Amino acid sequence: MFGYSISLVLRRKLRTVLTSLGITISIILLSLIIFGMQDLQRLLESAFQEQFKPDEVFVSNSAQFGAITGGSGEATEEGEEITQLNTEIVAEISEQPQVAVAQPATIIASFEGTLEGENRPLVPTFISGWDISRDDSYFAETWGDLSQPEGDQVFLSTSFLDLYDIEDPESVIGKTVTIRAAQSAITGSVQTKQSLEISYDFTVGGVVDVGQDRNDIIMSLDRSLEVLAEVGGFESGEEYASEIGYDILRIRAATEEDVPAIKEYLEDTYNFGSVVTADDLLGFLDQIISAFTLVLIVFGVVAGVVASIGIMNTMVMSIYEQTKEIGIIKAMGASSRQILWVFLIQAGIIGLFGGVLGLAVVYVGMVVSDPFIVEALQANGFTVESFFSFDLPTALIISGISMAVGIVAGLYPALKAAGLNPVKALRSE
Amino acid sequence: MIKITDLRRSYRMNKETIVHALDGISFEANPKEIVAVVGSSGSGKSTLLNVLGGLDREYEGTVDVDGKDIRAYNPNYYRREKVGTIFQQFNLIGALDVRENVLLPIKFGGQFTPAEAKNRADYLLHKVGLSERKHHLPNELSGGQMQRVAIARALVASPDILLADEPTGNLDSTTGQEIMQLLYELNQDEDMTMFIVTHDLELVKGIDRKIFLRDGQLISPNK
Repeated sequence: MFGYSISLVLRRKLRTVLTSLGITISIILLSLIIFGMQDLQRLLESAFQEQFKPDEVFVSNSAQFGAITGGSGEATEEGEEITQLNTEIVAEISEQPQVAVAQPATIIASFEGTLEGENRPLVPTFISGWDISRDDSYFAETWGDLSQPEGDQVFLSTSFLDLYDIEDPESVIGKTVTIRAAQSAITGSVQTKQSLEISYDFTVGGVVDVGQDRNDIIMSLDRSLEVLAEVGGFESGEEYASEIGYDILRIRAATEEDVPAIKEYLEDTYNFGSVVTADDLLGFLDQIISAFTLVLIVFGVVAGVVASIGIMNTMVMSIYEQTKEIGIIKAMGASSRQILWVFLIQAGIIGLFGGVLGLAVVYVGMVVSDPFIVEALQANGFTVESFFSFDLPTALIISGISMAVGIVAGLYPALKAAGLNPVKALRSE
Repeated sequence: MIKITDLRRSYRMNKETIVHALDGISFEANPKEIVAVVGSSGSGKSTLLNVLGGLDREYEGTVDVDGKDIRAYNPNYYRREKVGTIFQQFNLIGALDVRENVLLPIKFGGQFTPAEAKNRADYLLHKVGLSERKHHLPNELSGGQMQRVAIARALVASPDILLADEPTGNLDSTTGQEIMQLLYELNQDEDMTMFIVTHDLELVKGIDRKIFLRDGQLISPNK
């Protein structure tokens, strides 16, 4: 019976191929979604892990940082007063035994930076105050001799090089970068009329590649506090740090295992805008990708349903075409159950063929397009050797699904064929 | 031994009209006997063939084959192993080659191993003179060759009864005579009862036992 079904499918090659095409297209769509999203997830995770290490905890009251991490469930409960990340609190946290280093940072919002010799600013410009060493894992690559931002010497990110089409990072070292109040503030925590007239000149001490993050000018923490104090009308940077506080605190745990304990301590003792670990960020990333994948899978499933209706239609037509043959084989002693199987096997083979064809197209497409995608990703700062990876177990599952779709689509036509009256079937032309 | 007693088969065409396709037929046929069933169109020949072939089980009366009513047999077993059928239109499966067509009845059951089945098919194809064409598709054969394939297929499961429905109806007279000759020979070799249904009395003039049908009833030859 299996052999008979195979013979029918093989002898009707054109019909088999045409019927399979519908399912092939939906399998191509589904495979690209599944494989592509898996690969995208891997890529983003590895990019994240390059910058956010598993022994790090980030504390923030910043609207910018909170907006990114708020989705991970760290939002402050309504009505409670947020703990200021001021000098005393940072000192308190630093004294905890699990904490190796507590590194505060500020964000200077509403300023735009312009490089010497250029006439347009980088919009928006993300400016921070952070005593970060050039050998920190946060940086993908650095240029220049400056070991960390100091005084008026700052790190400039490669975003400026991209903006001005500068190829050699070393060529901007020593140049002046001027920051002045943005014409339209992106976030206005310390925006005042006075601030609109203020501008500052800094010297580019080093150029840094911050990967997928946006951190365009990094100055020393003290210098940033002075700027913020001046803009906000405070006497000194110390006063600003004590009254307003920092925006972000980067904590490095003594060991990776201490991270949960530190997070628990911070959440139990204080009420910060957000306390985020690398795991939280990855979890959030996974959530976004899962939601995105789900939406795409819905499209794929719709395509699959359309394809299965196509199979059903072809199989029903094929029954009309084969009515006499069904009568003949019934007259030769085939049972209704055997005829049911003959049609189900044909539908399953068509589904499987469509699936395998779709996977083959996807595989070839992956192999051919991979070098181009890798090139594009590398140009955008990702460190990747290859993007697509063809996963055999997933491919087998997809093949199984396409065969099942074929069988389900063939069920109604098969039942119809099995129920045909042999006398009437033999009379049909 | 086949014994048909008071066989009736009616069809309701609409609320008022009932057609009696077979209206109280009784006759017997002995093993190895050839019976010609002669009648014009609408006489009930095809209905009788459908009943004898196990395709139509909604009849009244009895049709005993080897002392047992057809309806007492498993219908698939009966159609596969007790009876073989040859059709006027040959009814070969176009997607299968000659040997696969011959093997069709035993693909759906029976006692043959695959090797035995293949040997049996090759033996019958040799007998009907088509050994050289076993891998050809039906559309590569002439009408006479297609009917020979159909004969081999009808005999492959060694049935007790062979039903031939206008077996030469689609063939020229010379080929028709060759097919009839082949059927006579096979009747002797294969040890079975044979019913040859036709409207052409000339075709079956060599057959001693003839039954005549008109309007679903048996009539005497003189009518």
